[in-house]
Amino acid sequence: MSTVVRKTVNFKINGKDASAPEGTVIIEAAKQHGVEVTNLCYNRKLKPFAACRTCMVDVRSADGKKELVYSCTHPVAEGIEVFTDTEETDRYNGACLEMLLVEHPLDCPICDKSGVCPLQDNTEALQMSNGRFEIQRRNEPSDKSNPLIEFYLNRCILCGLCVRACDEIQGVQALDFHQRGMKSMIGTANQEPLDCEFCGNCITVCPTGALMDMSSQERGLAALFKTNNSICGYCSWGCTVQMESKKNKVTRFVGDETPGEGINEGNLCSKGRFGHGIIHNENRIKSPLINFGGTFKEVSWDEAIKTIIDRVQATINRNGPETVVGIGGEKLTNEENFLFQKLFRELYGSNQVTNLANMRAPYVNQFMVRCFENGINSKPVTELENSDVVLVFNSDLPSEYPVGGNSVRKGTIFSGTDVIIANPRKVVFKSESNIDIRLNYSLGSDMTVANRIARILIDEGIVNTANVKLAVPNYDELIQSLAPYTAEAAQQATGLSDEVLTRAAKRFGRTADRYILIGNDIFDSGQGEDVLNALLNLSILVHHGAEGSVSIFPPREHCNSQGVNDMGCTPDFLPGYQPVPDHFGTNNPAGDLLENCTNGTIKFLHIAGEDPVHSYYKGEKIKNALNTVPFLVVQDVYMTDTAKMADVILPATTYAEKEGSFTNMTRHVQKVTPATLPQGQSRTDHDIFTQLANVFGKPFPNSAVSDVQDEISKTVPIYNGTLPGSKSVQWAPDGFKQNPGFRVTEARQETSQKEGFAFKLVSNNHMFHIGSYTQYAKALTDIGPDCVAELNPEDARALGIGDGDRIMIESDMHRVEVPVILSTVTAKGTVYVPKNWVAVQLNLLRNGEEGPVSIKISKLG
Amino acid sequence: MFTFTPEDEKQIEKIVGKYPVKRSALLPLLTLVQRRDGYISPEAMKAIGGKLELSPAYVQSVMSFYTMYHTHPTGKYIILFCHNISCQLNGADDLLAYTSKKLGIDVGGTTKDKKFTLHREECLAACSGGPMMRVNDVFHENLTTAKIDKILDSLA
Repeated sequence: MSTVVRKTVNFKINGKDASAPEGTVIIEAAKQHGVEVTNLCYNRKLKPFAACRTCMVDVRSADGKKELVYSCTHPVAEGIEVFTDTEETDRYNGACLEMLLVEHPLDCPICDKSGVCPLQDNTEALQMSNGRFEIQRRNEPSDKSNPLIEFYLNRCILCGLCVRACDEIQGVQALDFHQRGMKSMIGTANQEPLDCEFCGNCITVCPTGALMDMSSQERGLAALFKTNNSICGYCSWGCTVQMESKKNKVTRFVGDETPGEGINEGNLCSKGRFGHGIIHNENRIKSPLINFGGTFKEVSWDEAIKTIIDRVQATINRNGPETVVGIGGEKLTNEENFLFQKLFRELYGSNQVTNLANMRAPYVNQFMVRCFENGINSKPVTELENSDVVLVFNSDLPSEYPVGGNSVRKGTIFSGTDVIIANPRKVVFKSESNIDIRLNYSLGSDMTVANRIARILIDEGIVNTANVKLAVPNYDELIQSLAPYTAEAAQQATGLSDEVLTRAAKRFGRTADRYILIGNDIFDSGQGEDVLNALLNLSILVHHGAEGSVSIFPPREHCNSQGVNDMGCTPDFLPGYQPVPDHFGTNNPAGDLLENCTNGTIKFLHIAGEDPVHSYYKGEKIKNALNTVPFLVVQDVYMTDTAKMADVILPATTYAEKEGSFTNMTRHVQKVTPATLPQGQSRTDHDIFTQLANVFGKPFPNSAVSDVQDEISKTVPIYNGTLPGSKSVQWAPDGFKQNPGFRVTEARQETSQKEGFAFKLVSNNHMFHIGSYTQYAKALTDIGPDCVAELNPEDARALGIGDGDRIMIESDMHRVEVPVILSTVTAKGTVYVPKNWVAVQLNLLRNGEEGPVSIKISKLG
Repeated sequence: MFTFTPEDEKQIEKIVGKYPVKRSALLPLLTLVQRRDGYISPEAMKAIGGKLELSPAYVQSVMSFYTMYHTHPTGKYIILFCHNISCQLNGADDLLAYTSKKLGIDVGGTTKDKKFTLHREECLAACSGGPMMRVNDVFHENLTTAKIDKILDSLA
């Protein structure tokens, strides 16, 4: 909860005693007490609006005075009595609805919303089937001028929910009311085709079928589809999606706004809502394949599994178990990753399991553990909307954690959340925050920003240093390490005035519930570990030295990047961050996997659902490694560049075909359920691991998903009580020893400048894509078809580059050609390129460079 | 291509400075552009939105609510002819039809020489002098056909 405490008021609803926090509107208070009031334009995520006039209730004040008020704007008060469906309120509410029905087409049998339509429900509730007025329907054609969202405005009742969701939830304002009176209608500026973030939240909130999802061929009555709630398989935010399917075919995804369902309140982003095109897709791997001298031949599952196990056994016998190595999947479920490490540790006898995130940044898990050791356990992310201040550190929220952005925006409206955005790019984040501090620092100075803020907190006495000193033994060490971060030095390094940094520090250090959201961009700063440590120190300072709370989460990229580590797919920990037993020895080839593949130490590599050839930052080295390793198994949904290098390929399933759980970046363990059966010959990763164990001759005793969950609950203490995940519980860090301490690092700045390479490359996921697998979702390539670089207009002018020109980007390793747009979001001296296009191999440009990559650009004729 | 002149930029800075939040300056800025160009083009809406951190859709929604903002090029003189109750009872409809015929344009249209634009307008708060019309910023009351002739003929 926010540090601002709201009083509770007592009142009565329809004769029953009730209570709610001060300021709650009557309609919401009623809902919380199980009383539904008719309405069409109320949504608890949005500011009260009172457009539809169908939620009138009868309120008697404490002195008996009667008032008829709109329950969506009228707050509860001490001692009032509320009556929600008297003859009088029904008459008023009904009359307003009756007028809406004069215009509404009533084409329910062909409407996408039919069956889940608030207009139908309210018509039914108020028994308005016999209208008194002459019907006057609008008959405008539907507008399909954008690829995803159909506007059929004859059904629009002008409730304004889409307009408000677009503005308040998404911060975009792509839609608005135009004209007035009889002519008023919603629309885009000048009726241009919709060009927005395509979150589709307007579809979710629309109480009629005026806005519809065109991403699926199968359209029609919502009531005819089978639905199941599951967790999105894209980013690490962990949104609940409602999957609709018909005859075993997934047709569309919608948001489920049921209060308490998941962590996202029904909000989704473009990827989560429209990215279902990867499920039923022609390009999926259709059968197990074995590589015979360069050509893949379709084989039976039995043959493929036997080939793998024969090879595993031979390798173990000849070279020892530690030469058998596995890379777990950041998109596999917890149960699958658990079985994967179990297969390696218990059956093969090898501790050599890892994951790509851990290979690049093993310090992320250590950072998380250190937070716990300092007593910083972090609140559930469902509380984000109640926070007082959010520090968004090097994350472009609308692209990276779009639904996180939705919660922050809600906080700015309902909890007065202050927003501090620290980013080397001038990222766009529009919200209604009263205090919106932008720290637009120089690329590579992340650490200085965090450390200067820490020093201001101490120097200005914003935190109670006596308390901090008492709680943390190496306080003096921190003071020493912060000495170089003077106002002048910080300004020199970051380009930020000390005035704005002080403002940020004051806001962050004040009594507050704070959240720090960190972006994956810090890994490209060359100081990932140091940045995390600096932010940890900052958190420790306010944790002990200021009132309120602090929540900080390690940056994670994919839907189960947290879970793959929790489940022990790292050579450093058993599941649950428990120590690895001594019997595995100290030989750790997976610790430097690429080197040990290339030098021949690793003889067998099994990659579960990852495409490192495209996604791993050492582009050239990973290719060499995979080329050299004597035997490579890849299980995946699509024929990735990694799969093409394999000896055996196993066709796996997408997230919509499997059961289990994902753990999001804020540690919420959430249930994944299948919407359809595995397509074609594909099998779930769970089945594949079970088969491997069977053929290895040591079958898992109980291998159903529920059995594995039982085993996890028993052997992984932090997961006890979280599974099967239907309640979206955040796992609690019980059992981590308390060991308070700052992590100090020497001051340094990434200044590597290469002769002749004047620019720096900045890159992350595109707003409509993540990894390379969204490229198979047609809806997403429709809205985000091309890899387009971004260049600052001033740089462009100097180089004679215009908007839309093609440019060549070269590092000393590789070159790519892309079109460019000019944008002031991108700082001078940098080029931003989204990393999701297979043809534009940014990891070859980077090729192992830890910090910002030096590049040069030139215009192509 | 729509651009603000350096003189506009100065004005805008002054106007925006008057308000605690930027978006409050939307109506004055729309007025500024309309007085300069006679109408507000889609490009102008975008430019104004850019100044105030508002989307073009939002700017258009505010602008389209007010009938006195024009979205198409207008003539040198904009005639707003009141047709609300007092003026109407005193013959505004006939006088509007007369004016329309005299100028050879429909209501809403602009003369070929770009001199006059004629609009029907809601109450302009001059009921005691109805029927009335407004030509640019000047109110003309107690109209008759003769008076209209005189007014229009006198405009260069």
